[in-house]
Amino acid sequence: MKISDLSEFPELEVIVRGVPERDVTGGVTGDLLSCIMAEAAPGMVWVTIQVHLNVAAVAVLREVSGIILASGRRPNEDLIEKCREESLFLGVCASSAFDVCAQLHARGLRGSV
Amino acid sequence: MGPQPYVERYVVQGGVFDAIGEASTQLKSVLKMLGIPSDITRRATVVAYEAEMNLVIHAGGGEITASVFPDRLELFVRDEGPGIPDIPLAMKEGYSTATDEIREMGFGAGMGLPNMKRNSDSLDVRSEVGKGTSLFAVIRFPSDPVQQPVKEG
Ligand SMILES: Nc1ncnc2c1ncn2[C@@H]1O[C@H](COP(=O)(O)OP(=O)(O)OP(=O)(O)O)[C@@H](O)[C@H]1O
Ligand SMILES: [Mg+2]
Repeated sequence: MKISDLSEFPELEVIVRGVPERDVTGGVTGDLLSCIMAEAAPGMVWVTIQVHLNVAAVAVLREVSGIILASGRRPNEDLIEKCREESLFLGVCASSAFDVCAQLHARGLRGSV
Repeated sequence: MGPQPYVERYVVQGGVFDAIGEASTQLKSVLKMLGIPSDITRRATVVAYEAEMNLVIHAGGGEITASVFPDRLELFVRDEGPGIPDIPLAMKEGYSTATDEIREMGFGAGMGLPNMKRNSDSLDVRSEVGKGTSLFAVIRFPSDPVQQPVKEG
């Protein structure tokens, strides 16, 4: 799956396009930053309800390919700016984290790479 | 006498949540620039990020010194914060004294020190209540000699 494929998800609003041709290697979900630091592998897409700037810091350090904010949570302005700066995909989905992950899983993404 | 290490020093401000990750991000690009293998860089980044986060949240700021030797990376982290009364307890997964407000932001999982331990070859934590805390982490580079890349074409 590529980052550009994420835009085709129903109900997913793309906030920052990122690098469309980038590979999505898997997925990770959680709202505790240290857990994501421990679990995320490079290229994974991260599903979370955290919307503040530190999300981008963790995403960049762990080299995730994109961030999806679940339950319709709107990103803070500084998170959007940082994602633009880092060319990091950022999307908002009205569905819960559970449903977003289920959809990603159905399309072949797994929790390990 | 060993060779002189390449040294980077980062000052981390206490309580500035938006800046968490700046020092680790800088260190990451320095390690990349120095050609350190990417798995080593990833581990070092985790250790540095968790250290940085703890300096901001628990210690009122501090300092991270990274020394790159030919065979290893050393991270020395020190602060003059409140200190850790019970280090073995603080090292346990899930133990955290973070406030609810901080936890809502996703900090305070009690995973920082365990993550640091898992990602370093050795981690030494020392602390004195009321004086501060210091951490010393070593990450060794793969010992087998790096093969010269074979030129193709
Ligand atoms: N530099 C420090 N100064 C004072 N106390 C510290 C310091 N670092 C850690 N601690 C104490 O040790 C506890 C455990 O630290 P650890 O990094 O494992 O978890 P956390 O910071 O609470 O949560 P997380 O790192 O998962 O966001 C902290 O809650 C805090 O009480
Ligand atoms: Mg911590």
